[in-house]
Amino acid sequence: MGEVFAGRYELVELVGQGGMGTVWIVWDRRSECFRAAKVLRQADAASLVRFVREQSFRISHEHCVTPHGWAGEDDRVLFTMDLVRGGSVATLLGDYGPLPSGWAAVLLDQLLSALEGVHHAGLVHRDVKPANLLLEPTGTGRPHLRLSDFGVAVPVNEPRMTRTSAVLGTPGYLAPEQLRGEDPDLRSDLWAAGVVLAEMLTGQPMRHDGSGVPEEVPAGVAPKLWELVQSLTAPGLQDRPESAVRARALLARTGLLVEPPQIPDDDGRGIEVLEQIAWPGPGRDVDEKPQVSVDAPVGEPTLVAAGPVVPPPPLPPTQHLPPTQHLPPTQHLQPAENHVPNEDVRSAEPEVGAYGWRSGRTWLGVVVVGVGLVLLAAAVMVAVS
Amino acid sequence: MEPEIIERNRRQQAELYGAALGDLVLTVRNSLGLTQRRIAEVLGLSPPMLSQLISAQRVKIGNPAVVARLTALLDLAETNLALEPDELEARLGAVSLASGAFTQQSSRHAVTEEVRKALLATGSPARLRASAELVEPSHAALARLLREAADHG
Repeated sequence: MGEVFAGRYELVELVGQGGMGTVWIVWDRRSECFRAAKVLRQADAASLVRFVREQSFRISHEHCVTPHGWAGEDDRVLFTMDLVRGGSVATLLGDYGPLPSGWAAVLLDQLLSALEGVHHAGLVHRDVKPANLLLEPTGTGRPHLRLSDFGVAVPVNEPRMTRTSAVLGTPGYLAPEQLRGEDPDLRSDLWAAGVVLAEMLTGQPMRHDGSGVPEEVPAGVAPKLWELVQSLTAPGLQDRPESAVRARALLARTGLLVEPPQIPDDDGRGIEVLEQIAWPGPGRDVDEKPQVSVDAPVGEPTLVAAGPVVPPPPLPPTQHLPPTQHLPPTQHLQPAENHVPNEDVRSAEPEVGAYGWRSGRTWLGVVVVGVGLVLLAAAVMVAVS
Repeated sequence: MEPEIIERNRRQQAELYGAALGDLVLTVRNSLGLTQRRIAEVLGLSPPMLSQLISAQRVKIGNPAVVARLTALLDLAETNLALEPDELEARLGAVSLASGAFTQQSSRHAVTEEVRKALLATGSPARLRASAELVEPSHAALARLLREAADHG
């Protein structure tokens, strides 16, 4: 049996490793399902914790992967999120090199759609790059991109308390204003989207010096898309499209974008988004739709509505279901798992994810009923007086 | 997939790359002692993609830069040099950097150029030619490389 994190998440399989932390397939003992989880050092987790906690930052978007919940143990923090198993745009570029116009257009459109959602929530992502554009394993179907890794995302209009000398983000995808250390701006994400588009079209990372990508249209690239690259990566903020919405409109105007459910033309190159991560567990059919997120959909207020005001109720003992085919063979449910919060769990505030959505719902219900009663009482008092 | 389709795909791969990709990868594995996962990493391919190519479920390598890297990797495997682990890692690093537009044509040359320099550092052109004579019967490719290095010295 793998290590159990915070008494709840069994680390089953390491599926990714990066500078910031590790990504695991975990077995969630409470919800009895597999999930993806990112484990970070506490020092690197502040931004994501805030992300999960602050209602206004919750983004529910078909093209975003944001954390559902978190749990802390010792100096590490674990975030649960959807497991996206088709690799990333970086993987796709490695396998196929330059992408056909139709594919690049659809992927850019989905990225811009994700950025619409992010920007609408008042955030700048600040780390848009091919490796953070995850793909669902859609095979030869229409691709489905999901923007991930909100680890360095920041609110757009927040004055910064400290000016660190370190510029966050990834070299090569940083806009000139980011390199100069200016305040976060939505259009910095559009710059990065432009660099990603250039990379999808040429198969080459852009080695730019902050002055923009080459003006000349590379061989084999649709001039209309290269025009869009130029516009998105204009050195001056005011010369770029003003928003992701505007950029999408410009993209639509190229006529190269095919609407869903149409599959973009791959020019006979057999482009296929392969399954990069297999589901763990015995007897598991690949085609079987795994239960990934039992969490409430992101953005639903239940998980955060109670906030620090109402202490969480002791959870009723979980029904001990007989092991099913979803359980790995090593899985033995321990009675101890019901002690929540686990004594080892250190988190500054009631842990959002750890209570699960059922109790979250219950508490929303309690709060709603409570508020309703108060309003009713007020109305009665007004009426009486 | 039908066996005859796999067989046809392997023949098509041989036309494109000199041999079926499964065989080429096997050469690299045996010669350099690399795992399939590591080969995928050096080539810049995802493991499932490499697996599809090896099993000939897919004929063509989609990314031209990967073809360049495979060529460089096969060159490295062919030279049959007994490399120290750190030296091998350095060579593999050079292979994985070979990519796209401007290296596609030159990667083979870039890597062999490095090998030539390394060989020249071990002795004079005359000695390299003498060594070439010695290894010729058993290692023709290595002899060729030694002579090339001598010619450039």
